[in-house]
Amino acid sequence: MTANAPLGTGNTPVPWGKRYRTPLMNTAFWLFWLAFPLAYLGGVRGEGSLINISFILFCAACLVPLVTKK
Amino acid sequence: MDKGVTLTFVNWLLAFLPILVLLSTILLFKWGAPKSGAISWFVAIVIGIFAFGADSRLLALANSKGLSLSLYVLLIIWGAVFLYNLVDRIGAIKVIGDTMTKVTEDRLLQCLLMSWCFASFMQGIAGFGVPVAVVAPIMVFMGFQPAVAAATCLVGHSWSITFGSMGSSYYTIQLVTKIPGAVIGPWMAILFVVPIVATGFAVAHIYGGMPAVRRGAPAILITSAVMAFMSWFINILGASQLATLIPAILGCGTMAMLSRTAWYRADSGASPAAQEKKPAAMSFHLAFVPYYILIALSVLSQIKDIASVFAPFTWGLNYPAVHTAAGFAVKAETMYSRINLLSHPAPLLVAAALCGYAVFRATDKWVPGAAAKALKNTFSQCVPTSIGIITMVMMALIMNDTGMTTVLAQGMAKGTGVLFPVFSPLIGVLGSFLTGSNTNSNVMFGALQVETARVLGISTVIMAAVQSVGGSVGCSIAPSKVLIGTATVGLDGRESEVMNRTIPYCLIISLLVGLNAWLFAYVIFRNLP
Repeated sequence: MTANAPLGTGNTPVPWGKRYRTPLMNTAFWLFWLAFPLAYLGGVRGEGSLINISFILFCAACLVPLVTKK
Repeated sequence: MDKGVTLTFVNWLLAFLPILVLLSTILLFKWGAPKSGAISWFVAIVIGIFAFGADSRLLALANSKGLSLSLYVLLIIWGAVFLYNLVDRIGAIKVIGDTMTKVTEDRLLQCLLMSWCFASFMQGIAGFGVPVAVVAPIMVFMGFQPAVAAATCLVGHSWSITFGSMGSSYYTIQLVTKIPGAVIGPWMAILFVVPIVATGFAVAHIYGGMPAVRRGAPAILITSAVMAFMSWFINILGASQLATLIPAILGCGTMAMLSRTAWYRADSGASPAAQEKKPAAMSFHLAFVPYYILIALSVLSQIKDIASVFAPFTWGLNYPAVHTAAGFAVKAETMYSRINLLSHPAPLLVAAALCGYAVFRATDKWVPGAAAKALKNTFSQCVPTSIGIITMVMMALIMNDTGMTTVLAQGMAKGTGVLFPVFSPLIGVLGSFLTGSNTNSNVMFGALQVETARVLGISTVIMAAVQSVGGSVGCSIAPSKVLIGTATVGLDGRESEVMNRTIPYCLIISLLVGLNAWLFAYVIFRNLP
């Protein structure tokens, strides 16, 4: 996904967000699908704990592109 | 179903804020879609809670609906990208691109043929983003710039969406407005004349500016006349579900014939692909086998007897009715965003890939390891795209279920008064922009358009038709569709390059449709019901 010089070489330090962009984006992708059934079941059954967990997962997944993508 | 917050200027602005954030971050700050979608989702959540009275349960269900819709779209994208990568690994895309350049060596006609006619043909049989996913990368191979390929495909096929996918949006507007297809179909076809002509000129303009528009004018006008007449005629015959497919095929044929006329026979710069005269590794028909199979399966899936056999193989979630603290009620949904084994394009794409594998293997054209490499490429290409789509669709569903979308549409209707028909297509565009679907846009705003027409005392048939025409044109700027284009042409994270090209044409065409509708509603057909 990136076309940079080999990471960690040269004088310019590579930001961690850039260095771990691909694995973090992959994690965010799966976090959405993990939160999906929790949001659905929480919403249908009216279970606050499931809803709260789903929101934490959604927020974490949405934070990833904000800190790693251009 | 509604009520919700009162329509005031402040509430309208607040409802518009998530879209404003999305557009400004993509277009002004040049953020990628995942980042823009994520910040817009946060904004929609905050406004939903504090201004529109949403509670955590309603938001959880809206997010879940967003993922249900995203799953529907993402399965298509993943399937189409995988099929493309697989066919590309075998070397078949090169053969397809070479052959297309042989139909005409005129670059402008190639561009029009592929993005305006052939993409519309694909819309006629598959739709749901498949035309962009399939045609744009072939155009890149033919030597067109990636951003131009994606933008021309998005704009070029936007006239064909309502009657495409075997008429799914056309049937939806009938359901939500209770206007019979025999009445609304021909009017829609008449209102589509402007988008058919305008998308042709828009493609030429994106490709080469005013010189291309002038040079392409004869081909665009003649092909438009053929496609527009056939679309209307097929509607009159009562076969509206074919009112994209057949006109698009005839459009391809007309374009091919025009390429042999004195206007275009002179060489105007052959493509790099056409200049290579190496013998082809396989015939065009063999290279195109997976797409032939996709076309055949898409047509078969529309046959009612076959569809009824597969009807039980459907998955979808049921959602309960909810309402906001402000009183906005959201209806219960049964089998929301249903995915059927036969009618959904993803299983057809996978089946086409498997059949293609069998044929390539039998003809000794198979490259060992192609499937694994195609799968790996598909995953790395599609993950960022998927995150962009998920966040934006979740944002759209939050706006929808908290009443923000309704406030936006009501504000546009109230603010425009007798000029409502001029701006009415923009409501359809808004629906498509938010959901990436002409069908969903019609579901969201079809009834609103008809109600507003009744209040204003103008034709409900024309305004219902305008809603669907606007929704069709609006698909050219829907971020979820743009993302399909950027993902398949290798412009991941550079969505702004494509959107900057498509937005002006979408707005101009929508306003032209609106002017046409105003003339129909207030001047020419004042007595139409």
